[in-house]
Formats: sequence, structure tokens, C-alpha cells
Amino acid sequence: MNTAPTLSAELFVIPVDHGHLVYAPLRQAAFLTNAAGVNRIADLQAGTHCPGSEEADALVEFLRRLEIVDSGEETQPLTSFKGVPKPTSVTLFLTTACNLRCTYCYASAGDTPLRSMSMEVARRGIDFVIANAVELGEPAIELAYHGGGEPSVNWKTLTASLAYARDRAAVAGLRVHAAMACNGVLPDYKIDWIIGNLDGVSLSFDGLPEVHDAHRVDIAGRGSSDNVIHTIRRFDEADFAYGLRLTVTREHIPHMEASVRFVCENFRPRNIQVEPAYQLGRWRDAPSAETAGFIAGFRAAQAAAREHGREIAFSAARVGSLSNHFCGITQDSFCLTSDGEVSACYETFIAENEWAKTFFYGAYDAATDGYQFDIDKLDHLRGQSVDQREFCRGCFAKWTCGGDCYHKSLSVNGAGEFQGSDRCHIIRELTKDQILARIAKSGGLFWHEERVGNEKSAGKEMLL
Amino acid sequence: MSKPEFHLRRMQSDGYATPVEIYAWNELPRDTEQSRRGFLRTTVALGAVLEGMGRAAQAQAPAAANTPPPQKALRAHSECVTEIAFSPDGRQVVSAGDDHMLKIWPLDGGALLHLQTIPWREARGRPFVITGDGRLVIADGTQVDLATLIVSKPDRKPSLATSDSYVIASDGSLLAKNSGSTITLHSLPEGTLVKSWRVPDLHGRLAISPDNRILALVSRVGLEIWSLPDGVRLGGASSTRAADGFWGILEYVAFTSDSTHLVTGHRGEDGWKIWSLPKATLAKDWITEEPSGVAPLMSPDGKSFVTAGSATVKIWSLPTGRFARALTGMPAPRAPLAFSRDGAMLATQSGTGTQIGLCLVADGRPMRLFEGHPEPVTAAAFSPDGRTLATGDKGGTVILWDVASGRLRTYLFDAKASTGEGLSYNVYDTITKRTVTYTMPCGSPLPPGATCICNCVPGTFVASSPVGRGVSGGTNCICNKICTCIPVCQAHRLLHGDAIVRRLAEELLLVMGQHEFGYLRWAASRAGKGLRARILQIMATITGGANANPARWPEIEQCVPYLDDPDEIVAIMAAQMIGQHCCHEHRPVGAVVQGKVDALLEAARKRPWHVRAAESGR
Repeated sequence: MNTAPTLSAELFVIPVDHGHLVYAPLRQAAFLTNAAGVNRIADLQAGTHCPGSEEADALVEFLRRLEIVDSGEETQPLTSFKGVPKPTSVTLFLTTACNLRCTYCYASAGDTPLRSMSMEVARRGIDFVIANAVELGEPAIELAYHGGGEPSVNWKTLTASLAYARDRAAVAGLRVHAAMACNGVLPDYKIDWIIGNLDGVSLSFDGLPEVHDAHRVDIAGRGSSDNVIHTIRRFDEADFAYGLRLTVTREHIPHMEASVRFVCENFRPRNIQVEPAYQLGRWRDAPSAETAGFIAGFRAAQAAAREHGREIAFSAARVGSLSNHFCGITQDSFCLTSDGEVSACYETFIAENEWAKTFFYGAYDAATDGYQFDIDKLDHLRGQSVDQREFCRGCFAKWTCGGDCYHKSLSVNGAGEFQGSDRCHIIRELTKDQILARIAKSGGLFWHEERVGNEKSAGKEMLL
Repeated sequence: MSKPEFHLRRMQSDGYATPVEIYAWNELPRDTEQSRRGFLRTTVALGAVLEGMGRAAQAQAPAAANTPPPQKALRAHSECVTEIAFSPDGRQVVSAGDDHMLKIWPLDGGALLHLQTIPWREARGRPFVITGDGRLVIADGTQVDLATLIVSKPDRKPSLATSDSYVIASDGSLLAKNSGSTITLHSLPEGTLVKSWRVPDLHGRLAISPDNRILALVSRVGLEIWSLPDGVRLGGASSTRAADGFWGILEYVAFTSDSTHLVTGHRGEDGWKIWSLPKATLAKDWITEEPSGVAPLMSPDGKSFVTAGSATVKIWSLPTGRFARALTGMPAPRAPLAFSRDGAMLATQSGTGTQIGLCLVADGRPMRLFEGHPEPVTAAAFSPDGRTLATGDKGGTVILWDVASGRLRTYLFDAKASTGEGLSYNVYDTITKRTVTYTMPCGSPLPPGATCICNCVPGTFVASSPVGRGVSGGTNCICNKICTCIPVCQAHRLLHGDAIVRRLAEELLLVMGQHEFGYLRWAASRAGKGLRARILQIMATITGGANANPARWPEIEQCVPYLDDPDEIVAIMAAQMIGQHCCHEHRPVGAVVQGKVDALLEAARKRPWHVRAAESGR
């Protein structure tokens, strides 16, 4: 029995030069067509499709093969959290101190009140996630060091906490995945320890030494590229897994391509992430780098990377990874500040931060020897996933961007309803590039890929 | 900021006046100024796209069971691969083959970058060297700058006869050739004659020391060495009489990297000698226990020497000639193929010869076993960083492997070297700047840039790169192993009244597995409620790990009556099941039955897809 063909995918039509990119994100399918093609598909949607002609039948057949027609309901990549959180990952904000004074530091590291995590705070957090992992039957816990300062400055707690975690996890039959964000200014003995003990490191390195040294300076104002390059070379020699994060200020946008080329020609990072400098912290009043120039620079840098068989990444443009979350703030991310408060956000690391009241959702309670959580706050954070954002409903990038960084949107829009940002434009343009690149890579006519589950960890771009 | 709205909606412009078109979007080489991002858009009619997706190719596709092994036609060379090397920066792979072609490839497995014909096809010698500064120097003096691919030709090409042997100095500055009666020395790249001197009837192999000061010749007579570039004889030694009374023919010669010693070897008896230079004083003479006739290999640092016996590969220390260790733990290690640049890893031909074993030189411990070559492996090279191993085989296939994971990264693919019947592929040829259609055996891995236009089911174009998503390496065509139409038809007979037919349908769907889920979903969408539930149940079973189970298959004798079933789909399923039995049990069937099976499967293949699709919706 023949039935009328039915659209079975959420379809977006994205204008490109002299044509239209038809994109079904949840089917991981896309192709380029003309206006007539779009209108025929719109006919299918409206139920006004006229079958019978060779062209109409061919179009339906083409769409069917891309799972856009007659392929049943799509599965949205929705993960949601309820009740008391039971995280199996902990991120420790070890210190607000830093051995650098980067001009664009979002955390104003070194200028904020000095805080340093004690082993006691770290121990409680580690014990908590180990207990959760045992209860949930997880095979491993994740331990990350991040935020607010340079984690390696609090060397004592860094090394002791990882040793403690490994000891306790071994008793519980768990593995420990440990990673750190780091500025790369490290003495050799710390490099040796990192290579021997961590599973990965995200290093901040801006590419060309002159570009790096313009912003990433020590307390005396001296550039740090020599130190960081030494660290990277040591990592390469040891075949250690690390990623590089390049932060681009407005005046350095013209150097993006050369910086990425420099990285590709000299180092072997597992991934290269390029982000515009955030107008936060010391860079609050600086000119925005979230411009059309950044997009053009990113494209040039991407082309340079591909010449070396590499890809560069932008945190919120990630075709191939479907999620309703950008990062962990909607997924009960469990980060501990130096003082022991529970934060959901990497960028909110002390109580003095502007949005601490939004992102701090719990603290250790000595009376119960456990963590007490503010479930209302947590539910508010959980409600920031992209499927619950009205503004994002019609955006083709929503299932890959996941709603972008909530902290940044708060900085732009305030606490009201999300109203978009300059980053949205960057995300859409770079997402479009990725779709087109996938079409090209798939032979040039269409892209269609089997969906391989949701990317639970999408958004943890800072840590490998 | 305005709210984004990209949901599908009708266009108000040229809506219906024009036919529907699909635009092709192809990435072009960066230096091609086609558009701002190096992409070229061309227009393709919808019918052609659909044609490309399989409708037309389907009619010609042969049965999978009759096609050769998948990789067989995916070749870099049309004949045996004899040499592989990496550029010093590790970005390019150079391969040479018995097809007399020398080819340069990007490491990322992309399209062929450069072709060069190897001169002096019959002369004996390594056809090229890659110098430390990144020049590819070919024996006729031609040089290719590997960074720019700029080719420079010599003013005067040295000439070689077919019986000559030759050698190129490691820095590419000298060419020595031996005609059997005269040795001539040419400077490269100019090709000018530097020196020549006579030798009495000495055909054999040549070697130039790494410091370019000594030329060695081994022959049936023995060893001769001369200083370079003046050609003054420094010494020599006669070949010794072997145990069986024949004179051993020296046919291996290599210098240690510090040019202080020379190693020579005999064919047949696997006797090796180490000579101190510059006087060619015998320093060590030993015989390995298990002669194999396989060429030995010296490590890049000149400190290790690897010989192969019939069942073992042994490592000897140089210049002492002391036995260091044997390789153990690898299935039947055979010929040594390549050392990593730091000398830490050794790749050997292993097992049946189509495998490559990788072991640590320090303790002989096995690390990896690479499997995937359809023919015996003949050449290998490590990338300078040791992360990639390139291997070539007798049939012309070249594979890049990820050393760390042991997985295949990609095939190097030259469409001109790859012939075969079967599925069709579109390949954008960066040299001719044209899209060309080639045919490959069913199941072949698609080379980067190629588009499979075979009768694959939708949704089976998957990233094949084993080193992770987004890494080049093309895609795998995991096309339907039997017939595109059959999964639909089989699925629609899952609730057939006849138990044998039901079992045929179930078991053949299990044989096809997840590869056919695209079609099964489609079939489910076309089925009634009960049948749809059954199809989804079968899919869930497959997802849960169920595999084909020959123990449940209807026996051949049970299937035979169904070959004449009035329902053609049932007859085809019976034919398929008999085919599965034959493949699985290697059991022939009678000529009459075989004839019916062949005819049914052939008829199935020739049925136009859209007709079958319509039938399935009945």
C-alpha cells in the first residue's frame, strides 16, 4: 500500500552563495539545492506534494535515502538531570594565584583575592565522586584541575590530591582520568610529573611567539613563549596528549592563519582550539574580537591547518556531536572552589565573581559530613539547555552548539532571557563551514552519517 | 539581536520555474582561486544525483560472492611495490614499483601529488634516494624538491644499459654505475662524468659509503673497494668456497652509518662478513643457522643487523657481529622490512607474508601485528616521527598504518593503477582537474575524494578512518552484500505463513546485520503494524549483538524446493541461503541447483531499484 511521503526530519534551510543548504542535524544529513528544491521539500511538509513526475519521485527518493522522508521519528539528543546530583567527575579550582599576568585573562588571575585549595577540600570532593561512582557502577572517576589561576602553582595540593585519588580509587576498583588546564610555564620537574601522571593537558598558547608574548606575560611583563614552547617540545618528545588553546584578540586576528600554521609546523597537539578573547576580567573593556574578521581569520587558519592534515576547533561549532548542552553547567558539573563551594562553571571560581550566586549551588556541610545542594539553583541551571531556550528554537546550530556558554550569555544579556550574542553569528558561520566541508569530504553531493549516540561530554573542550 | 529562524520554509523567488538541482560542493587545492574558501560549486541535476546514489550502477553490479577480496583493486601501483620512503619532514610518502613509476603522496592519504617515470627499467639498483634536505634524487639525475614538487632535470643524463647496476650516494651527489667491464662515476644533478675505470667482468652490486669516500662492489668473484672520487683500488677479497663446493655469490653489501665497516653476504648459505675499512680487512665471519635467501637489513645507526631464517628473525650487533637476540612472539617472522628512524622499532613481514609484525629492537618484544594486505608485503618505511608505517605489497597496494593503535589509516590510491570490476566510484583527479568514474570491487574502501555510486543502501556511508573521526582516510563502502532489493523484500516476509520462509527472512537479515539498517528502517516505515513491530524487533536483536547463526539456517535440501517458488522474492531468498551455505561450508551444489541459484541472483540484480521499491510497498 503506497502512502504519501512524509517529512521525518527537522529541516533547516541555510542561505549560501547562490543557493540553499538543506540541513537535517538529527539525521546528520545535508545537501545544497536551488530554490525549486527547497520549495518542493516545503510542499512535502505542507502535504501539497504532487507525485508522479520523474523529478518529484526522484526528489522523494533522494530525501528518503537521507532519512529526511519516511524514516520515522527523530530522536532528539536530550539529556536531563533531576534530584540530588551524583557527579563522578570533580574539577578542582586549586588557586587564584598565577605566575603570569595575561592581559586578556578572564579571571584577572593574580589580581583577585588569593585563595589556595587545601588538601582537605580536595579530599572531600574526591571522596564524594568516588562514592558516587561506586554507587552508580561507573568504572572510573574524572579529576580535573582548572580555573581562576594557574593550577600548577598550588603544586602541593595538585600532586597530593591526584595521589590520594588514585589510592582511594584503586581501593574502590575504579580508574582515575586526570587532566589539567595549564599555562605551560613550568619547570622541568613539573613537566616530568605531568607527563608521568596526567592523561592530558590543555595548554594556553597563542601561536606565533610575538603574538603570544604580546599578551601572555609574566609579572615583570616579559613574554612567556620560550617557556611554553619548551613545555610543548617536552610533551611532544614524550608523545604526551595535550591540546592547545589559542586566544585571539582583535588586533591579532590578522595573525590567526600564521599562528595556526606555526603550531602545525612545529608541534603535535591532539587538538587545536581557537577562541576569541572574552571581554571579561582584565579584558572587559577591550575591543571585541567576536567579529566578521574573526570568522574570516578562522577560515584562513582552518585552511592552513588542513594543509597539514589538521583541523582547528571552535568550542561551540561541533557538527558531528549532537547535544542539548554546551557544557556541564546544565549537567550538574561539580567544580570545587578553593574555599570548598560547589560551582557549575569554570569561569566562576570565587564568591566575589559577578555570577557566583547563579553558578554556586552547594557547599560542604561539616554537620552531615557531606555536600548540601541548592536544588532550586541547580534546576535553574539545568533549565539552560538549548531545547528549553525559546530564542534558539529556529537556529540550525542548536543541536551542535547546545546553547553556547551560559556565563558568556549572562555577561552579554544579563540574567534575563537569552537574546543571542555576537558569538551566535560566529557559531552559525563556522557550523555552516563544517557542514559544507562534510559534504565535500563525502563526495561533494550530500552528507549523511549514521548517528553514533549522543556526545555526553560535549562542551568539555578545555580538558582532553 | 533578532531571533534566528532557519526552519524549512517556502522560497519566494524562482520557486517552480526551474528544475530541482543539487549543487556539488568540492574542496579544491588551496592554490586554485575558485572561491573565497577554496571550494568549487557545480550544479548537478537531481536525476544524476540519484543515479549516482545507485540506481544505474545497480544493474551492472556483480554478485559480491564473486568479487575478489575488497582491497585487491585499491592500488597505488599496478605492479609490485619495490620501495617506500618518507620525506625528511614526514609530510610525504614516496613509493616506487615494478610498474616503473615513482609516486609522491601526501601523508594524509590524499590524492596523488606527483608522478615520475623511473628510468632504466631493467638496470639493477635503488631508483631514488631522498636527501636530508628534502630532495628526491632519481638515478637519471632528475631531482624533485619534495616541499614544492618542483622538478629539475640534469643537463646531461647518464646512460645505462639494461644489464648495468648502479647506486646513488645518500646525499644525492654521485651516481656510480657498473657495466660489468667499466665503472663510471657521475656527479649529480649535472650528470657529468667524473671518473671511469675498467673492471674485469664483474657484474654485481654496488654501494657508496655514507661519507662518499668508498665505493664497494660485490660479485661472484668477491669484494672490491675503491676510493672516491679517484677510483683508486683500496682492497678486496675473493669469495670463499661454500660447503657444497660452489662459490658463494656475494650479493649483499652495505656500509655502516659511520663508514668504518662494510657488511657483505652470500646467497643461499646466509654467510655474512664484516670488513674493516678502508683496507677491507676481514673483521668477522659467521653463518646463520637457517638460510632463507632473504635480504638482511641494517639499522639506520649501523649498530644492528637483521637476518631472516626460515622461522626466525635474528638481530646481530655491529661491528662485532655478536648475536643479540631473536624476535619471538610474532607469528612466523619472515623478511625484515624497515627500522624506525631511531632504530627502536623493526617491521617484519610476518605470518603468511601479508601481515606486518612490529617489534621492539631492544628486547625483541612484539608490539603490533598489522593485517590488511591482500598480497605479500614487499616494502615498508616508518615516518620520521615513528607514528606512521607505510607498507607496500606485491600487488601494488600501499597502506598507511597508525603505529600507536595498530590500525589502518588509509590506502594510497591511484585510480590509474586500480582496475577491477564491480562498483563505480567518482574520483576528483587533482592532476587532470576532472571527475572520473572508476569501478572497484564491492566493499572496497573508498579513497579520499571518491564518491561511491554503487548500489549501497542509504545510510551506509560511514567514516572509516580508524584513527578517529575527521581524519582523512576516505570512507568504506559497506554496500549490500547480496542485493539491494532483498532486505526490503525479506523484511516483508518476516511474518510469512511458511515457517521455512520466515526463517530464511530472519537469518538473511542477521547475515546482513547493521549494514542494512537504512533499508530496514525504510521497510518498517512501509509495513503494517505487526510487520513493522517484527522488523524493529529484528533490528533490536541485531543491535543487541545477534549475529548470523549457521546452525539455524534452513538446510540446502530444505531451500532447494523454494528455488521454484512462484513468489520470486522467496525464490531469491532460497538462492541466497544456498549461496551462504556454499560460502560458509565450502560445499558445492549440483550443477542444476547452481544454475538456478545463479539465474535468480542475476535476475535480482538486474531488476531496477524503483520497481522493487514500489513492489515492497504493496
